[in-house]
Amino acid sequence: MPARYPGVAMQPSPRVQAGFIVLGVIVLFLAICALGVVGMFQLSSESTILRQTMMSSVAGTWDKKIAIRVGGLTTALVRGGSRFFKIPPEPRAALDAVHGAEVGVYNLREDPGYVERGALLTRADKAMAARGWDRIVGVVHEHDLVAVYMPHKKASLHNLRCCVAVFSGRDLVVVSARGNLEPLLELAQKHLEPEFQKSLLAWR
Amino acid sequence: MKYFIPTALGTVILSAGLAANASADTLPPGQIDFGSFTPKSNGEFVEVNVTGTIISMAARFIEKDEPEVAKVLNGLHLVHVNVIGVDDDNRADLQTKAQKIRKQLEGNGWERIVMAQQQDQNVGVYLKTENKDTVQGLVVTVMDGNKQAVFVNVVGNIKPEQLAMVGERLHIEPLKKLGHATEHNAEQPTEK
Repeated sequence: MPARYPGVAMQPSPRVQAGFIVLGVIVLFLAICALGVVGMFQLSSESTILRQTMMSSVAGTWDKKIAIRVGGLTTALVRGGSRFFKIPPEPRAALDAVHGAEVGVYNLREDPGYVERGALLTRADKAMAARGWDRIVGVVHEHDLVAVYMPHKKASLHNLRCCVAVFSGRDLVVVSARGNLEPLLELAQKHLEPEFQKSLLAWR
Repeated sequence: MKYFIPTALGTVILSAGLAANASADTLPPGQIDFGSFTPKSNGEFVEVNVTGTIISMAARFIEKDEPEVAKVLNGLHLVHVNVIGVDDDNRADLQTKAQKIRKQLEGNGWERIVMAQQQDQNVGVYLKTENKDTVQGLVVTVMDGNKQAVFVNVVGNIKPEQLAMVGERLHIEPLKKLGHATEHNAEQPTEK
C-alpha cells in the first residue's frame, strides 16, 4: 500500500471521475425530464396572461379542469420517432405541422351573473398587446366571447402562432398552438393535382 | 441652467408627441381608421382584422385550384371588419360615427360609388383609386337602423363585386353577406 505524503492531495482515479460524470449526466437528464413533465401541465406565458386576465375580470371561484401543454421538444421527439413507422400522408402532415400546442379548460363554480364581456375583451387586448400580440378576431354575442390573437411580429407559413380564448357561460377555454403550415399546404396541393389523383387510382 | 432642464424636457415631450401623431396619420393609402368600438355586453360585436400575411397564406392554399381568386387575395393588404349590434343606447352614436367616417372619406379623395337608403338601411360604398386605374382601398358602411352597423375596410386592389368572394375564402361571414348586399344595392337606382 503506497504511503501517504502530507501536503499531497489524493487525485481520484480516472474511473471515479468517469463515474461522477455519468452520475451528473443522469441527474441532469432526470432533472430535464422532471421539468418537462411539470411543464406539460403549465401553459405558456401568453396563454397564462390571457387566462389570468379573463379570470380576474369575472367574479367567482374558478376550477381548473385540465391544463396540458405539448412543447417543441416533445413534438420534435414524436416527429422523429414517427419516421420509423409507415404513417399515411394526412397524419404525417399533421405531425409535421404542429410544433407545440396547449389547452386549458376552466369552469366557474357559481353563476357569474352580469359579465361585462366588452370590457373583458378590452382588458385582454391590452394585456396581450403588452406582450406583443394583436387581436385578429373578436366576437361578443350574448353570453359568448371569442378572441383570437397572433403575435405582432410578421407571421409566416413556417412559423405561425396563435392564441384563442373562448368564454361561454361559465366555461373558459384557452388554446394556443404554433407550427409550420408548409406540410399541410403541400398535402392540400397534392390532393388538388389531377396527376396525383390519377396515380392514386392506378395504385388501387 | 435654471430653465435648461424644463426646456429640454418640454422639447423631448413635444417631439415625441409630434412623432407619434405623424406616425398615426400616415396610414397606407386605402386604409382608414374607424376608431375604436366598445363592445356592449350581451350585444353583438364582431371585429376581424386580417393582415396581408394571413391573406397570402390563404391564397397559397387555393392558388393551384383557383388561380384567379388567389390573385385577387394576393393583391390585398388588410381586411378589417366591424359589426356592432344597434340598440336604443348606441344608435345615435353609431349614426354620428358613420356620418363622420363618410365625411372623412369624401374629404380625403375617396370616391362614393354607391349610396343607397331603403327604409332603415343606409349603405355607402367608397373607393380609393390611384390615377383612376389602380384601386388602393374599399370602404363599406352599413347602418341597419334596428339591427347592426357594419364597417368594412379592404386595403388593396379589389372591386366591390369581389367582396363576397373574399369573405367566402377568408371565412368572414359578415363580409360575405355584405358583399351580396353591396352587389344588390349597386344594381338598384341610387336614392339619397
